[in-house]
Amino acid sequence: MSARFSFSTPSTLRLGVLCVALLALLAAAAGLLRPGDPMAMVGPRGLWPLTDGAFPLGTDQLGRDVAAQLLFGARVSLAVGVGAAAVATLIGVGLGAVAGYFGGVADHLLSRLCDYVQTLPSFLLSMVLVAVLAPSIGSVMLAIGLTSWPEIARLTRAEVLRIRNADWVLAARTMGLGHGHILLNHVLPNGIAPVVAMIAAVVAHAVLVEAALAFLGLGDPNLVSWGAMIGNARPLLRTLWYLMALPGLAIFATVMAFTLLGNGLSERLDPRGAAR
Amino acid sequence: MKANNPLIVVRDLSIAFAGAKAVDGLSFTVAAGEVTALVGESGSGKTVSGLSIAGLAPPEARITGRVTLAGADILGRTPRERRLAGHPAVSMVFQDPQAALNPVLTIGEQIVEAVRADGRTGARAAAARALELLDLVRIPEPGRRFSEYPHRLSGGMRQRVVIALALAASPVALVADEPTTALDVTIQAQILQLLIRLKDELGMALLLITHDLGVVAEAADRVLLMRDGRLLEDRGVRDFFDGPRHPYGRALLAARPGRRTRRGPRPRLADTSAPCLIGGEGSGAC
Amino acid sequence: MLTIEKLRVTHRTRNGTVLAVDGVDLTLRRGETLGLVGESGCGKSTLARAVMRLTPPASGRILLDGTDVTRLRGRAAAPFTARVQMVFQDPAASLDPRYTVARAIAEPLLPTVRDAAERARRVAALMDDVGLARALADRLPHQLSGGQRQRVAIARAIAPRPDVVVLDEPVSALDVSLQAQVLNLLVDLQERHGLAYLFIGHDIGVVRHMADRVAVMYLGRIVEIGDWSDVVDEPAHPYTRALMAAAPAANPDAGRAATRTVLAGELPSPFAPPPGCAFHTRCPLAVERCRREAPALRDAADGRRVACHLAPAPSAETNPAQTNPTEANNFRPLRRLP
Ligand SMILES: Nc1ncnc2c1ncn2[C@@H]1O[C@H](COP(=O)(O)OP(=O)(O)OP(=O)(O)O)[C@@H](O)[C@H]1O
Ligand SMILES: Nc1ncnc2c1ncn2[C@@H]1O[C@H](COP(=O)(O)OP(=O)(O)O)[C@@H](O)[C@H]1O
Ligand code: SF4
Ligand SMILES: [Mg+2]
Ligand SMILES: [Mg+2]
Repeated sequence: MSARFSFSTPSTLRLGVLCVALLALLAAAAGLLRPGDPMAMVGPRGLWPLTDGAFPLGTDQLGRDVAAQLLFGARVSLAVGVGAAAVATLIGVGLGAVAGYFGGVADHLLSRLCDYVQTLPSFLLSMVLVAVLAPSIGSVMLAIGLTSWPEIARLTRAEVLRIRNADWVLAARTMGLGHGHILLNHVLPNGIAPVVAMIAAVVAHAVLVEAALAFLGLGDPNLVSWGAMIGNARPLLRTLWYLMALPGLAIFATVMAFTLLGNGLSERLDPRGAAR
Repeated sequence: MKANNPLIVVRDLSIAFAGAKAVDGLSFTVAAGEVTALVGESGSGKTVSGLSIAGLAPPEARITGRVTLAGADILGRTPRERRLAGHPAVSMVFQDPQAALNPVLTIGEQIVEAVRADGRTGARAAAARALELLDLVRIPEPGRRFSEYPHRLSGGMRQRVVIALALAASPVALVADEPTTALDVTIQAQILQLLIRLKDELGMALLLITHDLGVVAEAADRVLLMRDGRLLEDRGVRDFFDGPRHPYGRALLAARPGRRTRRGPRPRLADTSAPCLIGGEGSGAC
Repeated sequence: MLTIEKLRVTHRTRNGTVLAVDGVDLTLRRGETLGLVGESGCGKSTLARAVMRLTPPASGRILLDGTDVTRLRGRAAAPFTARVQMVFQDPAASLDPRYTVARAIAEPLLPTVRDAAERARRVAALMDDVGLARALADRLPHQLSGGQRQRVAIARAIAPRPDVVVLDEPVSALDVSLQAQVLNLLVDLQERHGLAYLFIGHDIGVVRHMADRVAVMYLGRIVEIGDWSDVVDEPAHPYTRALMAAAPAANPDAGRAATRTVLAGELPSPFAPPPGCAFHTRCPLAVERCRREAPALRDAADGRRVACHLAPAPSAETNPAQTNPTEANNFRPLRRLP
């Protein structure tokens, strides 16, 4: 998950927001742009892209509309990405903040738990979880979220550790304010910037893992998914290669968009950086 | 004051950053064997003036005017260019000894590197010279300190190492920018004494940049008072403390704590922020 | 009002345990300024943090009007929390970079002043009190000058109407001219609100200006304490003398660095403090006894207290047998022109 780019132009954030917004818009408008069931066989089989105005991105080996599948697939990818990242953030930021702020036993336990989760092969763990929970969009989200929180927890803990001894936190303590108030108002807001960048990276990672799970047939069988599209097109690599290339491109674009968003946000969330 | 012939002559030095003038028409001289103190509040342009004399001004600075060292024009030339042109060196000592040392190299390695920067000294001779320099700045057990890393040294020891580094080029003048500000009182006194002794032993000129008038009283022979990039006073040190001519100088002296006596109320410290004090000579109206 | 008794504070580090504060006794009277000086690392900030209950003491007590506050927790501590406040050394670091001026000053009022309008009124009054223009209320710390930041920190500290303010080198990070403004402000506030200050500093001139009494600390212990003019201008303990002698002179006629005798050496490692008198490794007067036996802080002349075997007792003139006469001869208070 070290896919962090060092683009630091002021427009990084704008570009990231634009790309993510565009993706979200396309996913939301999927029903309008390509009405009907994307899984329905609506045209001739194996139609190449840009050859027929009715099917701008062609059809697959069963005659299903590729454009419709990509648009509806975006819904699944974004939902799983955001959902999994939300699960991971909730667990990771919560545990990391408590461990970093209070230290001692809490910190020790968290470090052990992180070590334990991180030594397990996370992809295999996700596979097992999905298989046990029965493949559905919810179980995929949960499985990815449950395996990708330790990085967020570690980063949050490190940031909280750095900030909890800052003079302004000590000053707040001398005012007799509660730990909850201090953690939420003085510690987390000042340490969250790098965590936000990492959350965006977790979204990107989740999109990839979702695709991989779907590729292996562990996706929600009732929904189109980019990973499943690639999986289904695998035997046709020599003839209809666009069936793999187009969803691959979509995955790449989504991962890039969230990476840009993350880097842009982490620059922007620094109050001193924003003023410059 | 001795009527020495000046070693460094600064004429009409102006330094601008992106159009804003940080230093404006500065002229003064620095004599060998003397301590010239450059005094002023934060942002008055002391550091950038010192940096340009040492040839270390940031590249984005637009510098005009003339700075000569023993008659040779040195303004705008980096220390390396000066060395290649055969000019004597002007070295710099910075405020924060922590930041001025490379944490991953030993003390010895750093001084050897500085000594060998002339491209003529062999490894063995450089090591001997490094030990000599450590001894010169009175570091106890130089042989042992040679292979230590900076973080193992105290702040005072680090500042001694920084001074040794500055001496590696055998400079004829030393620009020391707040060399004692980051240190403790007792260590401050040690470092100040060391700098003055080195100046005497090596016959260097010392341009001492500081905002601490106590340091000036202790060490300076001459005082240059700056504000907003301009020179307000250039006087002998006793003259300056007996009564600066400029109202800003007077206010600065009256702003120092420590003039309290056992009897009587605590004196009020002067406020030096009044803009009318910048106005120049004769603005005694306020 | 504030009494510190036999306070010991330790720091545990990777290299071992440091006894940063070693049996300190101090009292702070209502409305007075007690200066605390010493070299960096001698334990001043640790003492301040223990008084603020940011660091739990290993032993000893801190009494506020007779109540030991060191073991108070939660609700029981609330009435005492507001009464002792602190201003930190670096105003840039002690303000939350995301809190505006008004929000920072309002924060200590949150537990006690529930009404937002009342809080806003108090904040405006506090800003006037410390000389901050109301227009600065919505600025963030990085949009302020160093002096303005320290004013915000001071306003925040006096907001809960404390009796004691701990000032840990409040002007060290400021320019001369700003220093003067902030010191004047602190004097004014003390008069207006009857505050007692524990003023920590390493600039002798600043402490000399501010303090009513001065305590000198060396390696975690108080070595001398007394009236400011006695301690600063006629120090009795050899370390105090060295410290005062190291302070820069007020003018070139009062002293020149080239000719003065400066204290040699540095503070010994606090991990392995020297046995006996901790100062004996640097003390010009040290005798054999200093290496073996730690001197207690005891009464000396002028009502001050000094921890040195050679310090004459207040009754030394009438009872010379108490100290060895040759040792006592070496021991003359150093007089220095102000
Ligand atoms: N690299 C730079 N880019 C832009 N402005 C600069 C740069 N360096 C210095 N300045 C500006 O030049 C002016 C003089 O700065 P300088 O560092 O010389 O002050 P100083 O007198 O040394 O202050 P201090 O006592 O705080 O060290 C300031 O207004 C500063 O903001
Ligand atoms: N958080 C800490 N952890 C470990 N050691 C500390 C810590 N804070 C201070 N110390 C040590 O305690 C001693 C006293 O430090 P401090 O109170 O900060 O001194 P001062 O404020 O007088 O400069 C020093 O030896 C210092 O290294
Ligand atoms: S007790 Fe001895 S070593 Fe300590 S200060 Fe006094 S004379 Fe010096
Ligand atoms: Mg400077
Ligand atoms: Mg301190």
